[in-house]
Amino acid sequence: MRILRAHSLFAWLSVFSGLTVAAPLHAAAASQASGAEVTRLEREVERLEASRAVKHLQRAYGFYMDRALYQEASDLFAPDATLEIGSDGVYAGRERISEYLRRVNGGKGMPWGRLNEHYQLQPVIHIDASGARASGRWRDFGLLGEYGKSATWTEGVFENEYVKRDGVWMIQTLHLYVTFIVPYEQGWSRARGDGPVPQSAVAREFPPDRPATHLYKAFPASDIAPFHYRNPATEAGRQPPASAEGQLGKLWRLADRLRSHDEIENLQGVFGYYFDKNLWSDVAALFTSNGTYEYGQQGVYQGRQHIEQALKLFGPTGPQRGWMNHHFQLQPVIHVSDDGRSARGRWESVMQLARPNTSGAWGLGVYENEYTREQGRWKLSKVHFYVTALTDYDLMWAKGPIPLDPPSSVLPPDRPPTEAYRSLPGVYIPPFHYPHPVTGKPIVTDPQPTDSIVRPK
Amino acid sequence: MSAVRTTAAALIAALVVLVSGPAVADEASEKLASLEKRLQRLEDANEVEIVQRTYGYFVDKAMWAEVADLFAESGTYEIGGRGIFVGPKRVLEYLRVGLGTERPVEGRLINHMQFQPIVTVNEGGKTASLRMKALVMSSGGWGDVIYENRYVKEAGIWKIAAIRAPFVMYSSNDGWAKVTTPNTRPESFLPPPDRMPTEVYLTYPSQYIVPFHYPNPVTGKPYTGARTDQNAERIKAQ
Repeated sequence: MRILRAHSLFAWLSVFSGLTVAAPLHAAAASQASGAEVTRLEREVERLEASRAVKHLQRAYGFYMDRALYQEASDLFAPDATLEIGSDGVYAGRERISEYLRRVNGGKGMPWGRLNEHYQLQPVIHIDASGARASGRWRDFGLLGEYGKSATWTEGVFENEYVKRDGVWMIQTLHLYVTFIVPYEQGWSRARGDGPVPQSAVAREFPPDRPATHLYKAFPASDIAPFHYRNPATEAGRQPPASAEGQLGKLWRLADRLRSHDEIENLQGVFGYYFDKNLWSDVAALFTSNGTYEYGQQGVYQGRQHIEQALKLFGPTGPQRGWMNHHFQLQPVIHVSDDGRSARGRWESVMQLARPNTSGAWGLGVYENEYTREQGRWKLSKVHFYVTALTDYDLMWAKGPIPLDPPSSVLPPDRPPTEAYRSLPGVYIPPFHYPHPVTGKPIVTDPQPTDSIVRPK
Repeated sequence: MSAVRTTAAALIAALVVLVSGPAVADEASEKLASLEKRLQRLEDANEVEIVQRTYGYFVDKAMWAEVADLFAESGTYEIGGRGIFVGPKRVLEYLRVGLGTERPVEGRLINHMQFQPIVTVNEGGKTASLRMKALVMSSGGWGDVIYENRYVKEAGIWKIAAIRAPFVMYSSNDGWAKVTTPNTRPESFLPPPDRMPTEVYLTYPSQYIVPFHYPNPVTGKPYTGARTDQNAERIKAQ
């Protein structure tokens, strides 16, 4: 009010005294400059909201598909969208997509006895510079079946595109690269069959608008869905906002923490997709120069070069026929430090493993990782993967637990394991980096019960 | 005449300055306030996800006391068809009496992986809803769960106001083509619940559509269709 009065007085004086109105115009210009700052922050907020909106959209697709709500699922697509699942070819336009989804899932509604679970996992989302287009890589993991007849596992990778029209995010392209569709009884490791993934009967009866855009090869071939992003280690860093003062500065710092949270979620997802396919140099590049890597009871490897060598313990470099190193990256709990320079994250992993001529294995584990910001890029400074359970595919948890590998004698680690523990049937609670979210008290993880070797009395 | 016109023009120019200068400043601070609210909503969504994901990490290791501490005083807990338990004390009783030994047991696996969250922080920023999925990988077999949960922010801390977890499917390690376990019921095992189930439904091979807390994100329309398959209706009617 005081400012308003001063302005008005000055304005009236300047009119009646014949002065120019230059001075008040300066004041207005100053306000507009901060207005530009506000607009810049608004764009950043829109970007953060876009990342959440895109994830919402893809997850909503999963929730509609698992309840056979094909109309609702196809309503998520832009009118000119395309859909391509494996070798079935490209279906264009919302109506064609709707019809295809309905047919490929066995008709209208969800009949008694049908299971059609498609989990939408491990998002790596990038919003483009315009803020109106986005790309997302996702893992599709499915439990399919018909009661009394079949139970089936499926896994694949989506590379999707999204578009914002009239303020609403929609799916522009849904593109699924299927890794396997296998019967429960045999699992993925025994999958045979060379050559391309066959076209489904639905695609033959209800032909696509365009042929498939990729030569899909299912496991045991090792086909990589092309990445919509480059290795983040090679990307230009994002400088944190200059330390503005006051309210604007406070909000920029909050926005920066939220953006860091998203970037770390992406980073860990990227790590997982590279690990799946033995892309060891790409995995190693995600670490800081003195970063550490510890897997199960194999000890601690330090530095990118040594980490890259250690990763070869999981198989030869690059995609390999008959090898599978799927490490799903799930359930992130990420805390970015107040100064925005470091972060910690807990993740849960489901592993699907295969080596040639084996029955395959399931695995479970927990990551407690640390991240550091280097030249504007978030990097892995510590990956600590607690393998809590491994089992032979046929025997499962009760009968087939596989003990953890000890440190390699071929390529010894820099340091022994930081904690000694046994996986299933042993029990171990990997320590939490954060306190109880409601009580604020430290989370007590009692040590593993006494064990004559690992934990002597 | 021209002098009058010049004066009038100057007067208008002055009025423009008079109105626009402070108005721009007000607009900027109003905008900042609205951006702060939007950023806070994003932060709240992250925090709600942390509560639910931490719930998963606790369940994996049978950390029952830690699970119960995630609930608000009037928080409710409803798993499968077991009915509703009210308040952290009853939640803890349900877990300890109903689900077995607290803390990990040699050879026992009960992982509940939490994923695919859709969080809605409601207007006002004090309550939130979440749809999520879980895959149960346990020594006993497989389970598939949908959550439709609610959360409340009390004194700046997000707590569980309601966990509602209708199972889609329970099966053994023989696989869901051969073995399915029907939904649990209030009397399936002790202790008894405080309230009856929100809705009676059958698990796989029957179908149940858990109501969505959010509308279709593109059309904005809520889902109002059927919730169960006809077979389930027939069995319920018998």
